[in-house]
Order: sequence, then C-alpha cells, then structure tokens
Amino acid sequence: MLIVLWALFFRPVGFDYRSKVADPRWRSAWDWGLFIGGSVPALIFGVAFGNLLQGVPFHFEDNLMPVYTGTFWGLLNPFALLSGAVSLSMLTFHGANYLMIRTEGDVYARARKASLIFGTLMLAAFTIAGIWVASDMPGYVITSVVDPGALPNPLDKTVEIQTGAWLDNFVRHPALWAVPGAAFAGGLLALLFAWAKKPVLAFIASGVAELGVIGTAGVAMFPFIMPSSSDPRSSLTVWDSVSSHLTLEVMFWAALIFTPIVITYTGWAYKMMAGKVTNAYIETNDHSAY
Amino acid sequence: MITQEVVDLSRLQFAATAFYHFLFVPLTLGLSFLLAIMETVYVMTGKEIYRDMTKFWGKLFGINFALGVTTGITMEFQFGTNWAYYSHYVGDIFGAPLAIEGLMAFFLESTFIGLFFFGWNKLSKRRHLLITYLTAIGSNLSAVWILIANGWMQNPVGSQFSYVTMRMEMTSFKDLVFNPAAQAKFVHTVSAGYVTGSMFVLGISAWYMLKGRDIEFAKRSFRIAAAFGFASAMSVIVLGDESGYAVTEHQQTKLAALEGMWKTEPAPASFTLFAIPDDEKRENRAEIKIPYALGLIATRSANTQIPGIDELEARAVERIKSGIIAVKALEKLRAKTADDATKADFETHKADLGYGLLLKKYTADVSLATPEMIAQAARNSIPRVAPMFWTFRIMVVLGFSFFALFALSFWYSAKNTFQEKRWLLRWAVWFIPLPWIASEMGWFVAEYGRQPWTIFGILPTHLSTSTISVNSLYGSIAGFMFFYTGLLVVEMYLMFKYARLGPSSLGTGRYAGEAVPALKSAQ
Repeated sequence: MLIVLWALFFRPVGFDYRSKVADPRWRSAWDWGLFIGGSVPALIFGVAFGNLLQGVPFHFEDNLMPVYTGTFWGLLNPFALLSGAVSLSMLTFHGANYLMIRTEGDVYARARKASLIFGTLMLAAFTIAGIWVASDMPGYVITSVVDPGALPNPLDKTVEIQTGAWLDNFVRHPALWAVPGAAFAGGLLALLFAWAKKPVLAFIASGVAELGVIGTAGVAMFPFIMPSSSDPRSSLTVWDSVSSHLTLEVMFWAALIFTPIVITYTGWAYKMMAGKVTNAYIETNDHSAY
Repeated sequence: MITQEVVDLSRLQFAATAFYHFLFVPLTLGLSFLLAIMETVYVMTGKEIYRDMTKFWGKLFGINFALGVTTGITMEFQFGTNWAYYSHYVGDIFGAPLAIEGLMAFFLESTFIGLFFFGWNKLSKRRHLLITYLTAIGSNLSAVWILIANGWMQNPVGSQFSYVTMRMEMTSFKDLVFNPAAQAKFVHTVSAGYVTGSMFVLGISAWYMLKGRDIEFAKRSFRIAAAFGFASAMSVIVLGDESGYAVTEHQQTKLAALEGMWKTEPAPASFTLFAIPDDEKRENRAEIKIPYALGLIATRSANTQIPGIDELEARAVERIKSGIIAVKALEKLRAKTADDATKADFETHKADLGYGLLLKKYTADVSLATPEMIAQAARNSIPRVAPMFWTFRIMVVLGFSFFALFALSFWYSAKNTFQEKRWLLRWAVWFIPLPWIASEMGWFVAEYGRQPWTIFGILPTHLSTSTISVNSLYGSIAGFMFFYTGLLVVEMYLMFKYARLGPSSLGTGRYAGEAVPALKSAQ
C-alpha cells in the first residue's frame, strides 16, 4: 500500500507543477511522475485483488488484533501480477477511449492505437485469469450457519478451502454469468467502436467492461471480502466486517444525499470543460490556464 | 509482536507526517477565502486588477494546495497501515466523519479547484465566482469533519464499547457532530488558517511595496489581508480561549500539564506566566505567577477547583484498579466462560476499561499487576509537563503578536498611510513564517497533551498500532523523509519563484518586470 501511496504523491503535485517552470526537462520529469502516479496504483490495486482471490495469510488474536504472517514479496505472486495486468490494461483502455473523445490529430491517433492494444490485452488477461480461477484456484466456503443479523464477530464461524469454490455463486445463480459476460461483451464492443472511430460509444462500452470485470471478482468472492489462507476462520466476510447499525444508517443517508450532488456538479464541471482540446486553445491560454 | 519500539516509531511517523501535512492546510483554509473576497470585489467593481489579484494569489494557492492534498492522503492511509487496531477499535465512529468528509467536502474542493484554474475563459464572471466560493467552502467543510473526528479522540462522546465486536460503537451521531470539543477546535483551527493566509498575503505584498514594485496591486492585497487578518486574529484568540475551556472540562490531565500545575490550588488557581518545569522533581523553578488568573480563565468561575497533577494521579490509580476488574471480566466474556456476576462486574467497571488497558504496557495479564506497575501507569497517564508548558506559551505569545501586527496594519490601512511605514512593512515580511509555527505548536499541545491515549480515556496509544516489524517502519519513515524532503524543496522553490515574479507571472503585460528581458539584453 505504501507503494501506491508514494506513487499517488506524484498525481496532484504533477498536475499542478508540470507547467510551472519553462524547461522541457522539468516538464518531462513531472510527466514521468504523472505516469508513475497513474500506472503504479492501477497495477497494485489489481495485485491486491489477485491476493484477495487467493486468500491472504493473516489471523485475528483473541482481542481481534489482526496479524499478517506473510511477506511483502509473497504478495507479488504470478496470479496477483496477472490480476495487476488486468486492471492496468483495463484502465488504460478506458482512459485511451476518453482521450479519443477529447482530442484530435496526432494525440487522437495515438490514443486509438493504445485503445486497441490495451483492450486486447485486457480481454486476454481476463480470460487467462478466469480459466486459472476455475481450474486450479482454491476458493473459500462458509461451513457454519450464518446469521447475517448477528453482531459481527469474525471468529464465530468455520470456513473451508475447496478448489474451484469461487464458481459456486455462478453455478447456484446462473443469471450471474451475465457479469463476466458484460466484461467480454463490453470489451469486444469497445474495441470495435475504437476501431470504427466512434470514441463515445467505445468509452461507454469500456465502462461496461470495467463494471463487468470488477463485478466478476465481487460475485465470485461473495460473501468473502478478505479470506485468510493461513487461518480460514479469521476470514472477513461482508457480515463480519460491517459497522454498527447506527453508523450504517448515518452513512446510508449521507451517501443518498451527497452522491447525487457530487455526480451533478462533477457532470456540470465536465460539461463546462467539454469540447476538443486543440493546439490553438492551448496556445491562446498559455498563461492563464495555471 | 508489538514492541515499544514499534509504538514509538509509529508515533514518530504519524507525528512527522501530520506536522508536515499541516504546513499546507492552514494556507489552503485562509487563502481560499481571501481569493473569494478578491474575486467578489472584482465581480462587484469590474476592475481588472482584482481579477489579476485572484489569479496571482490563486497560483500560489495552487502550489500549496497540491501538497495539501498529497500529504492528506498519507494521513488517511496510515490509519490502515500503522494503526490497524485503532481502526478496528474505533473505526465505527471515527470512520463516519472521515467518509463524510470525502463525500461532502473533498470531492467539492477538488472538483472546483480544477474549474477555478481552467475555467476563467469558459465560465461567466458570476459562475466563476461561485466556483471560487465552493472551493473555499469545500476546504473549510473538510476541516469541520476532520476536527469532528479529532474532537472525538479528545472527548469520546456518543459511543459505547461492545464486548461482542470488541470495539466502540456509535450511539448518537448528533453527540458526535455537536461535540463541544470538536466545535471549539474547528473554529479555532480555521481562524488560525485565516490568520496564516492573511499573513502570507500581507507579508508578500509588503515585500513588493518595500521593493517599490507593483504598488497598486500590493496595496490592494495588503488592505484586504489586513482587514481579514485583523478579524481572524481576534477570533483565533477568543476561540482559543473557548477551546481551552473545553479542555478544562474534558481533559484535566492536559490542562494540568500545560499549566505545569503539580498541586491542586485553592480556587481560583493562579496562572503561571513563566517557570522552568522539572518533570523529575515534579516542581517548577523560577515561577512567576498571576494570582487567580487561571481559575477565572479556565473555569469561568471563582470557586471551581482545578485539580493538580498529584490529585489526578491519585484518581488514575483508583480508575486503573477498577479497570483491572473490567479487563478480567472482558476476558471471561470473550472466552464465553462468564457468569451473571462477571457480566454485572463488567457493566459496573466498563467505564474504566481503558485505564485497565493502560497496564498492558507492563504486563500481559493485568491481574498480576504490582502496585509499582499501577503507580507507574498512573504517573504516565499525565503527559510530560515541560514540552506542554512551553509549546503552549509559544503559541499564545505568537497569537497575541499576530493580533498586534494586524491591528497596526488595519489601523494604518484605514488611514491609508501604511505604504510609508516601512518598519511595519518590514515586520510584515518577517512575520510570514510565524503563523505556521504557532499552528504546529497548537497541534502539539492538542495531541501530545492527549497522551498516553489515542482515544482519551478509552484506548491507550501503545495498543493502537498495527503488528508490523520495526524494519518496515524504518523503511517507511525513510521513504517519507525522502519523498517529503524532495516535495518540500520543489514547493518552496516554486513558491519563492512565483512570489518573486509577482503578478508579472500572469503574462498580462501590465506588471513590473515584464519588459525587463528586453532591457537586460540591451545592457
């Protein structure tokens, strides 16, 4: 997580500082900073998800003090890195489609090329990860009776590890196959639209693909949030990671009120700034932009 | 295994990153409103110079804001990485204000700051003004929620412990939000931010005037900063007093430590103006006292007693003894071997659970605690006196000196003679760094004074950390030092560069120095 944090450092600073000194080396250094700030977290979030799917070696002590017993390098295992590749290519794909909407000329052509490459990569990596999970990956199953209304205590249950168990939810509710389906359909359509130079449609389709990819992992793991590979009983599920009733209620109302407001003003901000960013626009606003 | 070294290094890292974060926060809080004021004048009068002022000070605001955001992410990350048990134990309450902060304030300020910089040509005047106000309101709302979270650490209201989930759970959101400790802290902290922003603008404008450049620009900036700073400095003092009153009520250990009050005095207690506190001998040397002052200020009454350190320690011993019973009962409840008598014991003594946990520093099994351990824990329940005593006094002296400087600046700007008072302008330049020192001292008093607790009276600091190794802590501290030093060098370089360039950096062709390149090449 610290790697993510240090990489994230470069983002706000990079955006603001890159034009502050008129030296190409300064600009290029901050652009590399922005590159790291964007790509490293995208990769690491995928790596984290890959580790969650496999289970993480940790347990709770009696006073519910969590103890991690693995190593740092253990987190960078092959499946986790594959998951990292899924998330990095997925986000680059989506970003490239957005860039196609906002630009023209050279930048547009490069964005289109990136979109086609990373879209293909994403679909390939996602497929391999899917086969891996289905054939060879241990999943987790709760074997005791669950009372979702009880006060959360992660140590009050028993959990077993079974190969292929991450597919149980799909087998039990076949309609859920639509979620990975959306990932594939969205990805393929987005590739097609990017190729056909329809960036808005490509952007929407790659958005659907993102929901599908993240949703697939969520459906597979439900109700687990963070399974423990060394002490399965300590695994965190949605039922024993919750806050108290009152806190949830407060947050429910806060989210219900503020999320639409945030979406509205963010949408308004995008609308205000909409339109192609052209060379001419950048030149006329050289000093006033920031 | 959590050793004392892990706890100490975690504290060091958190303190260092928090101090660093707060180098940027006060300027964001203060400058955002100054920008809003300048732009309001522009929209009302239509004079272009005010738009240029907003843009120029906005540039400096942006340089600072970027690092405020960056270092703020660190703070939120650390609750998970370094304070895992803390997050588990109080996340149910502490998490809510942080989440609402993100939702309500952080998104607001970070969305609109983008429009502030990029929207000058795309938005109408009024709309852009609205954006500036929303940015200012967003950053101040941010402070509200963060200080509600912090206020709860100082005075944990609206919550209770559940032995099933082994954590504190919220019982009243209203109590949490309207916590008197949080309210007093919020207004005191944002006022300090306004003072910082005003001093920044005042000092830099004074420097332009001393250099005899961009006079019209600097004069207008100076006036606005003097007026806003005067009001803010007044409020920081009045509300600091309010904050102190909240401390008297909720954190007697902090008050006793920062006043260096070893013994309880008959009410109203005297105020120690100067002394050299000695933590070993438990006494003050070279004391200068003002009779009755402390009692009157802190309790706002002539007959309420303020307990001294000796008395507070005696009380702590009693609470620790009661806490031992609570800890033992809790262990039985967790092991599901508790009978009704144990449950009743737990209910009676659970208010002192945290005091029982203080002993965990000395022994894993608190029932084996010796009287020496109890005495030691009680002694450690009071923060060390000397650091508290001094930081508090430095903060207060600085606060009053800001008030004096702003009062003079305001007086001479009302008489419109300030540009001739070169001594005043020079003082204003020298004063630029001082509000930062005062703010950091204030945080030191608030947080060091909370020790040995993370949640006052509930969760001891030494139980709050993650189970991480000493090596990874050294690694992360080294990483923070490396990145933070680099970032600070860049930020200071840019700040000085743009402050020196002044409004000419806008490239409008109206300000000093813009024709200089041509002159230079002629020479």
